[in-house]
Amino acid sequence: MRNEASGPTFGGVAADANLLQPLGRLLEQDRDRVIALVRDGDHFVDWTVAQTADRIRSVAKGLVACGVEPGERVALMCHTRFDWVVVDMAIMSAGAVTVPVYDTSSAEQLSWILEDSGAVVAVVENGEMRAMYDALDQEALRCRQVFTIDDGEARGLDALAALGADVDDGEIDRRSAALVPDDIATVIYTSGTTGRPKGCVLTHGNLCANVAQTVDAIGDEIRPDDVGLLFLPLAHSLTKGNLLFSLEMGIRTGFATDIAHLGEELGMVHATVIAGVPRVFEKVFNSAQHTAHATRKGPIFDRAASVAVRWSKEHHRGEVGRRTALEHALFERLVYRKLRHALGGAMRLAFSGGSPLGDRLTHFFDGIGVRIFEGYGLTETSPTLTINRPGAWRPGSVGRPLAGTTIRIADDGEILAKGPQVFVGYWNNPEATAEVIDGDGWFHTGDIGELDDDGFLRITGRKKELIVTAAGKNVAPAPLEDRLRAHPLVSQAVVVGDDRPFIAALITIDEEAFADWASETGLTVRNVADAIESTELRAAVRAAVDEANLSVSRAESIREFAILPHDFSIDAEELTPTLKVRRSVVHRHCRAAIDSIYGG
Amino acid sequence: MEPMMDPLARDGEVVTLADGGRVLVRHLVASDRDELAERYLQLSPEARRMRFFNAPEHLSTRLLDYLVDVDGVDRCALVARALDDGDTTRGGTTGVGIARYVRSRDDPSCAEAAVTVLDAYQSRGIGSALMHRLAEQARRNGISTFTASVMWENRELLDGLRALGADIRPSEPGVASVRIAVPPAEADLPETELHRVLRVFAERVGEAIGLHFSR
Repeated sequence: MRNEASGPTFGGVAADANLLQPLGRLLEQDRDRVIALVRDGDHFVDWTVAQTADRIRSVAKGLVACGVEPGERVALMCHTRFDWVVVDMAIMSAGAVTVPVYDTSSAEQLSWILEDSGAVVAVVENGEMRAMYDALDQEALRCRQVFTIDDGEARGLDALAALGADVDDGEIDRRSAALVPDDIATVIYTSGTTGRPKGCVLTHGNLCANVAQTVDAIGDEIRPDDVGLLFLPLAHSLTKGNLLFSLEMGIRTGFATDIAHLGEELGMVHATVIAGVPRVFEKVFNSAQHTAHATRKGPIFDRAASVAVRWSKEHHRGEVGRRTALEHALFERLVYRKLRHALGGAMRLAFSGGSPLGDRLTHFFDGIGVRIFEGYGLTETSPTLTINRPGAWRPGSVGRPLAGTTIRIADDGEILAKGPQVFVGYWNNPEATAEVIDGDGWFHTGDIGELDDDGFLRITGRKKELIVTAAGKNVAPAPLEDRLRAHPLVSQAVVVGDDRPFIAALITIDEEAFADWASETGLTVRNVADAIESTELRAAVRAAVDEANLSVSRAESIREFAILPHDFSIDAEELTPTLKVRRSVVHRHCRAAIDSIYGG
Repeated sequence: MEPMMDPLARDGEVVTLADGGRVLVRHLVASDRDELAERYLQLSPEARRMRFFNAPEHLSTRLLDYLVDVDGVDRCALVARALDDGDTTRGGTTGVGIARYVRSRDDPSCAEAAVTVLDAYQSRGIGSALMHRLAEQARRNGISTFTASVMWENRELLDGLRALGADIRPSEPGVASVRIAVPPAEADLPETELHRVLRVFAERVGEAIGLHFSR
C-alpha cells in the first residue's frame, strides 16, 4: 500500500483553449461529418458538424438578442436530448455560463439554483417546467426571460433562434474567440450532507484538461466509426464529460429518448460505446437472468455467467485454461451473442462511474465481450480523476490517476486530489470552498480509499453522510430523516438507497404516540407490530413521507417505505451503548424489508 | 464500586469554571429523569445530530429508562448543574450538561463515552469538567480505553484527538470510530498534558458540536 500516486506528465491546455474549439476544428476539417443522431419518429436523423454548428450559432444569437452578456449565467432545465447540447454550446458561444438543472428538480431546488447563481435567462424544456418556473417568487430572482423548448405546437429552439436573426455573426465569433481557460464554463449544483445545494464552478480550462487527460488514457480505444449513446442526465458531470470526450474524438453521439427505449435505441444507432452508472449494468444482467429463468433456461444462463467471469479472470492473467476456452466458445454461440444483441449488437466499450461497480459484473461483461472501464471522480473534478484503461485494468479498483493528477491518501484514509481538472471552488461560497480545498491545494473528496502498490485506487468508504444511488445520484439522508421524524407517529427514520435504484425509508413508530393515535383512529390493535400492514398506519406514514419529499427532486425522493415492527435497540446493537444509530446494523437487520422494497 | 473513595459520592463536587461560574458535578440519579427529558428538547438540532446521529424528536420512555439506568460502575453518568445562573425552578440549579460511559460487553476494559452540554452553556469548560471526572470514574472502575463514534463533519475534534494519539478509523458513511486511552491518574501525568487530553475530549467528543476549546 502506498499513500500517493501520480499519473503521467500532462502537457497542459493551450493558453487560448476553450470548449468550443473541438467543434470549430471539425468545422474546418470535416464539416459534413455526422456528429449527432437525433430520433424523429421511427428513425434517427443525422446532424452534421456544419448543421450543428449553425444551429448553435443561431441560438447563441438569440441569447445575445436577449441581452445575455459574457460571464452571465443562463439556467438550462431539460432532460438529455440534442437541444440540451445546442443550448449549452450556444450559451458558451455567447460567452456566458451554463447552469444545468435536473429535469426532475423540485420547485424549491429550481428556485434556489436560479437565485444563488443569479441566472439572467432560463431555458426550460416543457410546459410543466414552465409552470413550475412561473409559480416561483420572481422577486428573489434576477431572471429577465424564460424560454420553453417545447412550447405547445412549437417544438425545439426556433423561437429563441428567431429572436437573434438581426444579431451580427461577428459578435458570436468575437465572444467565442475571447474565451480562455480561466473563464467559467458551467456552474453545476450538487447537494451536500446538510444545507442547500452548492454550485461547483468549472472553468473551460478544467473541462478541457479533463477531456485531454481522458483522451490520453483511453483515446486509443476509440475508432472513428464508434457511436456513443447518451441516456443519463446531461446535468450530471459524468454524462457531460462523456459528451465532451466524444466531441473531441469526433465520433457520433446518439441521444436516447428515455431509459424505457434504451434497449431499442442502442440497436437503432448501433451504439458501440456508452457511459453508464452501475445500475445500468446491473439492470442488463438482472433482466437477462430473469428472462432466462422465466423461460427455463436459468441453469444455462447461470453457467454461462460464471464461465464469462472465469474466462475474464484467466484472460486478464494471460492464461485461459483449455476447458474455460472451450466453454467460453460454446456459450459465446448460445448466450453471449444474444446478450450483446440485447445491447444493440455492436457494443464493445463502456465507461462506469458514479458509484462502485463490483468486480464480478466487470468480469462478466468482459467475458461476454463488452469491456467496462471504471473510473472515479466528482463534479468538483470535472469529473474524472482516475480510470481503468487498456494495459492498466484492475476490476474492483477505479484505476490509476489520469495524467497530471495526483491522488494522496490522508492519514485518516480520505482521498485527496490535485490536478488541472480540480475546480476553483463553490459559487459565492468561500467557506464551503475552504472546507474542501486545503492550504496546500489538495481537494478533499470526502471519500475514503486505498492505493495499492501499483497505484490503483479502491474506494472503501465515505466521510460524508451521503447515499449514492445506483443511478449515481447523491442524496443526503439527514435532512429527509429530520423531516420524517417531525411527524408525531415517527420515532426513527433511516433512509436507504446506496447502490439501489431509488431512495426508500425504514421507519419505526413512536409507541406512546401510537397508543393514542390507535384509540383515536378506532384501531383495535394493541401494538405497533400488529399494525404495520394496516392501511391506516401506512396512510399516516405516507403523509410524513410526502411532506419530506417536498424538499427534494424526484430522483432524491423517498419512493417506498417500510414500517418496522420494533424501534431500534441497544440489545440488537442497532444503537450504540450511548444510543447512536448504527446505520450498517439497521441495514443488516432489515435486509428482508429492504429486499422486498427493491423487489427481492 | 468503591463509594468511600469516590470524590463525587454523596453530594458531588463543586467546580469553579475559568469564567468564575460554578457548577456542581454529581452522579445522575433516578429523580433527574424528568429534567433530562426536558433538557433534551432544549438542545439544538445540530447538537442532537452530533450526539445521536439520527436523533429522535424527544426521548421516549424506553430511551429515558435506559439513560437513567446507571450503576456508577458499568454504566456511569455524571451531570453538571449550574449553581450561579439558569432557571431556579429546580431547587436553585439547572442541569446543563451530562457525560456518560457504558462499558463494552465484549471488552470490559473499554467503554463508549459521550458528553452533551446545552448549547447556551457551551464553550465554558463544562464538558471538560465532566469528562475530567468521567475519566476518573472510568479509571477507578478498571476502564483503560474510551471509544466514541464521531461524525467526520466534526473535523476540529478529530484533528485534536488525532494529535493526542487517538486511533481514528472510517466506520460507516459519515462516521469515524475513535479509540483513545483513558489517561492515568492525575498524579502520574504532567498537569498540562492531562488537561489537554481532557479538554479536547470534553469539548469535542460525540455530543459537543459547536463547542470551542475553552481557554
